[in-house]
Amino acid sequence: MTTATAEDFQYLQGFLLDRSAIVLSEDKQYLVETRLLPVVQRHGVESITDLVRAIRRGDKTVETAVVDAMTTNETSWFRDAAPFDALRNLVLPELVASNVTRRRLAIWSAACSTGQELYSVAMLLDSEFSDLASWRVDLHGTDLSTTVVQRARTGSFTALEINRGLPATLLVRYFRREGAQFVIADSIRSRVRFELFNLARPWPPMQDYDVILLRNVLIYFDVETKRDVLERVRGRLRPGGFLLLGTAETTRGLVDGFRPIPVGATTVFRREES
Amino acid sequence: MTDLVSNETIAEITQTFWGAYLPDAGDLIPAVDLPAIEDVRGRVDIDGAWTGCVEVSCSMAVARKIASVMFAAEPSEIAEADVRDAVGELVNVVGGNIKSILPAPTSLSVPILDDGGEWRFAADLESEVLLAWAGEPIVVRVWRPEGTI
Amino acid sequence: MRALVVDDSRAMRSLLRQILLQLGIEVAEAAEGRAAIDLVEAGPVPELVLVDWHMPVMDGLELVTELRAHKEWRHMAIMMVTTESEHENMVRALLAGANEYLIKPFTADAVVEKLSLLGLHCATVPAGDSYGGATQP
Repeated sequence: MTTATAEDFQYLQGFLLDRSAIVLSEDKQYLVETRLLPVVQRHGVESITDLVRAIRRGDKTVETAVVDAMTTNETSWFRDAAPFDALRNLVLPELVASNVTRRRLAIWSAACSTGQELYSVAMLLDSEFSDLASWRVDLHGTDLSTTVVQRARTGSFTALEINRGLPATLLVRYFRREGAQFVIADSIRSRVRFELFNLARPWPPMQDYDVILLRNVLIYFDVETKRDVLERVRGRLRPGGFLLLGTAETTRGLVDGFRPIPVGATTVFRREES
Repeated sequence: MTDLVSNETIAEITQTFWGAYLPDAGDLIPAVDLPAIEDVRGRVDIDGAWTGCVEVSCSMAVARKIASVMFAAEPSEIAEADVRDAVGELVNVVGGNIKSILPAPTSLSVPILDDGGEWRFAADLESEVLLAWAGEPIVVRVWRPEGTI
Repeated sequence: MRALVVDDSRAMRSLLRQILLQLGIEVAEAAEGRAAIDLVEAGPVPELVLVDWHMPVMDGLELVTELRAHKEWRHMAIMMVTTESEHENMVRALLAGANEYLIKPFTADAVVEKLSLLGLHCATVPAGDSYGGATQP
């Protein structure tokens, strides 16, 4: 039994909305099947219906596996290129100038997946912004999936992952081989921190940031959740700080207090001085 | 061998070939009690700080499936030479990735395909990993020259 | 845009050709380095050369070195596409003049991203991506 029944799908819609604020529209039945069949195999059960039963029973292992499978996306280094060009050419030079007396910089990758985005930022800072070497730089990554946060912390990647958008010069400069894996240099790994964090749930007390990367997350949320998350993001962004969203995402029509600034092929959203 | 390249790593490397080039073909999974049908086989030789060879064999159904994706044609339309060429690339990728984990420096040969002649070579079996796609076998073996410690 | 794929495996050349054609890139093929040099000399000169490492006659490292010895071909982008992924060897290929490095096996997405790193912008993004693109909800 490889298909999800209508009841399974309906239950999973509610479960994923509750657990991770993900809206699974009716046309996403194929997605449930392609993502969950490996989970079915791994857990030695017969069908997606069995997985649903296990979740109803309160089986935490299956719950976690299903959330992970439904939310984990392939991610690449310097994903989409344009946001990193914006960081390089506008965002970081501006912040280096405006924070020169504080000598502090804080960046949050708010849906960090297995860490490529935050490690890309760390490599960019190390290789092109040497002024920051003596600053206090906080690089934080968070994600709602336990599995990916644990993987991000290891800084260890397969050849398949290394192939995805990592420039060869950075590969040879910052990675060493450990068996079949490529492991990022300790000098980079020691500068980043990864934590479990659910954007759609209440947030714990946390610091303010100069840059928040919230890319390709809002697309999964309904309008209310989008607005709520963006408001809280604005609250954690220092005045003059920058929000970077995914290609298809915007603050427009959802939340005030951001000024869109086009840079190259993308747009960054700057928090207005209050 | 097991301390240099584990059977899990060998399986993972082979599965990565499958996942990258045949993502829609269904998973390649570890198998235990599957008869090893070795219709097509090839090997790459590794020489240097570590000397030995990596042999990959599979059933004709598996070989045709790989070739049909790489040559973008129906499995039934694939010529024998294309099947062997595609398996040669499988051997190259699996062997080359195993080489990268072994002590360096080593050199890697181009794939050598079994053309129906004498295939057995004087070597000791180090590792053997059996995988299955749709009930059809793929076997990866690592050999070292006879008497190598 | 025109690319030259250099690999001793016809299956691999075929796979790369499918990906590149979908991106609107014309493809020529050579089975080893010497034949590749002959093709480039005969012209037209490709903007991109994809180079396997282990090949008979002239291997990939020699080919890169040879291509870079010709000043008139300096604008050509060269990407290694190989299983060879020892740190030292990747450095050797880059020092010889390769601009990028793609480790086999790879997905079609990885090819597209590497071309973008090389500043080669493709006509189209592969539709339907039969080589394992990310599935986005």
